Amino acid sequence: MSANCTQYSEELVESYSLGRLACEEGARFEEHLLVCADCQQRLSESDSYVAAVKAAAVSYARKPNARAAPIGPTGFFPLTPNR
Amino acid sequence: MEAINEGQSLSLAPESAREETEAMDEQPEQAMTETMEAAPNWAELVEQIRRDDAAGMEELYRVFARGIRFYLCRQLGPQELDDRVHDTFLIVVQAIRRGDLREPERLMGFVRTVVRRQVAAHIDGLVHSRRQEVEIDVNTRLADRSWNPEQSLASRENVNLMRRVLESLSKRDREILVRFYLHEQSQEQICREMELTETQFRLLKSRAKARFGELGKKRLQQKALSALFVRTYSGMRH
Repeated sequence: MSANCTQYSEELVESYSLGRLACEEGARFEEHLLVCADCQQRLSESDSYVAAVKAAAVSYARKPNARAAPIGPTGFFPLTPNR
Repeated sequence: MEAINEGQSLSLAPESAREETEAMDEQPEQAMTETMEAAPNWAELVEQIRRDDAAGMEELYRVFARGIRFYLCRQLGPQELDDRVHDTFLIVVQAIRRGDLREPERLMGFVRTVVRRQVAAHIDGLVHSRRQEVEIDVNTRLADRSWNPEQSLASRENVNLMRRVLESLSKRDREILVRFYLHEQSQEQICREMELTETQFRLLKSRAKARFGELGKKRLQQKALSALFVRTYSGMRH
């Protein structure tokens, strides 16, 4: 993250990006977001990052033979697709 | 040229699609540097707007224009963004003049409420119109009209590239990213199932996140350079 605002942590910005902030906290951050260019930039970067990881993970899970691979500890995601 | 800037963030969107989104950055220089420290006296600003003072209107626009554009663009995309921003300002100003804002110091919250209602109304309208389309022809597929075929191809290439980056991480780093970002598991669940302490989780996640970001940027740079090379080389042959 490259912006300077220190009012909200990187972790909080990421939580907002993932839609995981509690209502009140989310509302406070959204108000701040309306007037803080730094946090708009930080959130854009976080949104891009989250989208990239999600897309990569979905693509990884859909690879041919991936579903036949050994299943991870939680049983829903193959950690090492067959190559 | 498709060269990647130093601090550029990861993006799956093709270059041409990104240009559309960047339209929201076409703001006055002053608004670009707006921060909380420069926030005005809300009560005074609201009073100016009530009096129909042009300076108050200018100030309202200076403070909120970029933020409203950002919020609307993030939620609804860049289509008709100017109109939506304009409508939002209109609603805010009219509401203030009617006296709907009883606590002027709550202006930020008031603007947020108006913007959120705008987003909700747009989504409601969209759902309604799509439902009607489906009723007209149940076999109709709702096509994604946002990207053209070239842009879709470029986006798919970027996704494949990111997948390769994910594959290149260690098994544990990959698992943490997948659990946290894709399956949206809580820190507690990840710690429990991967037998990590909170500190270990924070360290591992931070490292995996940084690694994915660094490798992703590097690969995007290589892709941009190789595209440039191909264009230059094919240009020399003709």
